Amino acid sequence: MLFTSAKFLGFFCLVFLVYWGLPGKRPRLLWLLLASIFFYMSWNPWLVTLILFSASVDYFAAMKMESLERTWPRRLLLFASISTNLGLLAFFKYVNFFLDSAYALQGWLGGEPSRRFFEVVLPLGISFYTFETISYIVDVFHRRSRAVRDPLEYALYIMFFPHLVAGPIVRPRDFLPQLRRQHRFNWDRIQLGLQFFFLGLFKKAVLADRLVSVVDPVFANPSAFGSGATWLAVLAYSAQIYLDFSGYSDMAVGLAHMLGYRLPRNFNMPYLAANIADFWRRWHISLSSWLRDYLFIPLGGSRGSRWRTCRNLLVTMLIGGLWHGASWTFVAWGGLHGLLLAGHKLMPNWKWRASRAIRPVAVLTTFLAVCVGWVFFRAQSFGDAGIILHHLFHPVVGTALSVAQIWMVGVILAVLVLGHIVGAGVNLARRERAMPEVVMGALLTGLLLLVLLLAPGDGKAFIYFQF
Amino acid sequence: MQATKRHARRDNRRRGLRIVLWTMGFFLLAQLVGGLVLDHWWVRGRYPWQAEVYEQLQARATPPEIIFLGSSRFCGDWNCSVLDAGLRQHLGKMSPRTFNAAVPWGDTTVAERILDDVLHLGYRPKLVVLEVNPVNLASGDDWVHGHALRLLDWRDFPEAFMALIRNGRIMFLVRGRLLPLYLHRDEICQDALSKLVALFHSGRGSVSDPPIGSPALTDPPPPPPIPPDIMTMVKESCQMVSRRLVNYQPHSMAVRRLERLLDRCHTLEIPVLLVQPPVHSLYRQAVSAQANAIFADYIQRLTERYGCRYCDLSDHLPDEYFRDEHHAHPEGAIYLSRRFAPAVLAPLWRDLQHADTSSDKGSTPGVPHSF
Repeated sequence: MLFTSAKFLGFFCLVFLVYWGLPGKRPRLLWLLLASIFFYMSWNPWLVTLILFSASVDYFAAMKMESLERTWPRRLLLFASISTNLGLLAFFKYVNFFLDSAYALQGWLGGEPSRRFFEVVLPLGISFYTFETISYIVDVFHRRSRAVRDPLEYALYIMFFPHLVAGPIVRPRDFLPQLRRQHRFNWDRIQLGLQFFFLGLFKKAVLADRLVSVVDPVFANPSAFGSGATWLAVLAYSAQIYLDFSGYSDMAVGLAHMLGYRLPRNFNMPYLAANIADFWRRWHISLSSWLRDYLFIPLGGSRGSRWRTCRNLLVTMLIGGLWHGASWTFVAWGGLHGLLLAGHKLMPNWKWRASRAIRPVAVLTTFLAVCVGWVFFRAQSFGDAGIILHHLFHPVVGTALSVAQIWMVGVILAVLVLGHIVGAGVNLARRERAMPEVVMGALLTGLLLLVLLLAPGDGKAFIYFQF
Repeated sequence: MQATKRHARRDNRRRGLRIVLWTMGFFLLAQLVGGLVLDHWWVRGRYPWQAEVYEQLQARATPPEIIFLGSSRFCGDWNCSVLDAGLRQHLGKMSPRTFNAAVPWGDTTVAERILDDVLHLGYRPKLVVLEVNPVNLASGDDWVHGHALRLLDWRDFPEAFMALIRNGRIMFLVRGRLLPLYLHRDEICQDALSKLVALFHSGRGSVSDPPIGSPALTDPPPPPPIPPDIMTMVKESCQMVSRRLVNYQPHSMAVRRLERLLDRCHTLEIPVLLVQPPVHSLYRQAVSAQANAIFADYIQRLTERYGCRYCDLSDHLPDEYFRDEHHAHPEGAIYLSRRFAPAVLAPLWRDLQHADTSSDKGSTPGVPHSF
């Protein structure tokens, strides 16, 4: 069930009405868990057993770990739990990737491999909930969080359906206390949830889905298109992935608000970043902060020499790239960002870098660097990525986009830029509070009507569902 | 301090409720107002084919004298160019011009609305050729749910509500009345975009009549036969028709609209020719003799009550000219029109003209049934 489908709307209305109609905390938690299980089973009924197994391993490991005092048995449990989670992730997501790479290497070394691959269904959201279970067990190990005794609360921490399939990745210390609180029905949270949900729906259904018709043909056959079309497709993809993923995140935040829960913000005007480090503080914030806290810092973080820091950055981003998908292009994307972060770390701290006059140039440069990264992220192979990059930086004649497509991309990019500028320059929360209710109602209605009128008929799946 | 915070939270909650209520109110208002606009001023947004008919009519230099009203069957059954040529050949230079105002999903409910609008636009046909069919007039109101989305407006709400409650399709009416801007978003966006583009390409459309060609001397060769996968669907469809006509009675919203249309034409002295369109032999076999007899009896009563005429063409098109159980190929339209013009339309037109000029206006000349 996609968030943008009528089926999900009916499902959520039912969940919402029953949830707030139930008395007390435990019936509501149970209802939410059942709804989340049903939601996950609507994708594939059997794979719910995998997520329940994965959650169970960490649940019991954490409880046992908390009862132990000595470090080495706690460390052993931590290792076992993380190995189980990563093992499941490796099998379901990466087995064919590793096999293919091994066969390619064997072939390169002169061997004649008999290629065998597994038919493996990729469980939806496995990358996301695996990271959540790891963050839970690590936090318990470091005594930053208490182990959850109530299986209902723990299961819901993992399976809460608004964030189940594509994040935001929630931390135990942020979400578990919310599960323990009694929630009161609050119209203010409802209207805030509607704001987020409609905005996310607009970004995804109206803006992001329309760009598919420009992006897909160019990336499917890049050699056929000229430089102009390639530039537009790359810019369109930059817009598409942001609008798609931030739209999904906004919808998830909105749904959670309407149920009385708060999910973390996942995007903060990323294309206004003045450098690559700033970009990663604004893009997929829940993932970047997870990588910082559970990978970069344990590797040593910035505590050692600058070269050690660069090494840690590179390793973190390579793993971050691999997390996105079982393909070397994703690894290359991660590696590119690792190199950029390392380069940013090594750059001298000149005063003029922080000046306001240089900021537009810095923002544009960062954006272009990110766009180059998106080429690897989206391209189907290194060959295609090479062709696209060649077309970007060397004028090539080829098929052009239609006038209608150019206009569409232009309008959507303009909306994106305007949204970024308004989001960065205006205190939206304060403005929203000061706005008369009738104006807010009219704005929300306008947003919903735009979605209903302009959303294409065939709803596309969210890009991050494949991760 | 605590009390202030409590008050602020309470105020926020009340504010939130008012915002939600305003949103729901504005949304409902937008849908209702949008629906009214689509019902009365922006027909193309709701029923593009209906709008197309009015535009084509208004693009004619001279108003057509004979108007065909019906469904997608009639859309494909008639070739007006061939009809006009045939009428010109048999009636001379003062022959009437035909106009096909049939639309997909156009049963007698739609026909009545289109005729109303055509009269409202100032066109008064001298003959209306109206499609009738046993299935369209059967009880059960099988087509009303489609009309609820596209054609019916608030004036039709009580009648449609009862009909759709009876056949369990009330949600179509709810969606049609309460979510028109969502249901018709594609048509609205396309039309809005084409109007926007037209603003930059000024130039009024020309008004002209389509030329009358030479009469077709031979029948066109039959098209390729119906493919096996389509034939399977044809057989399934005919089985559904059989089931549909068990305990057949002509009693539905379409029947009431048909009688209303005939009554109006009778009052305005507009002659009406009821035509049962040609169908594939499999379709004819699916209609039982009993259903045919009941239908024929009903039509007989209509002709006696309203002075209209009836022509059964159900077996007048060979099977090879069909692309499914009831839609003709363009070659079938030429075949049928070549025969219909001289065998039915021309004699009827002569009779009508003679009846207009003669003192004996009580007689109802018969209509040739075969050609």
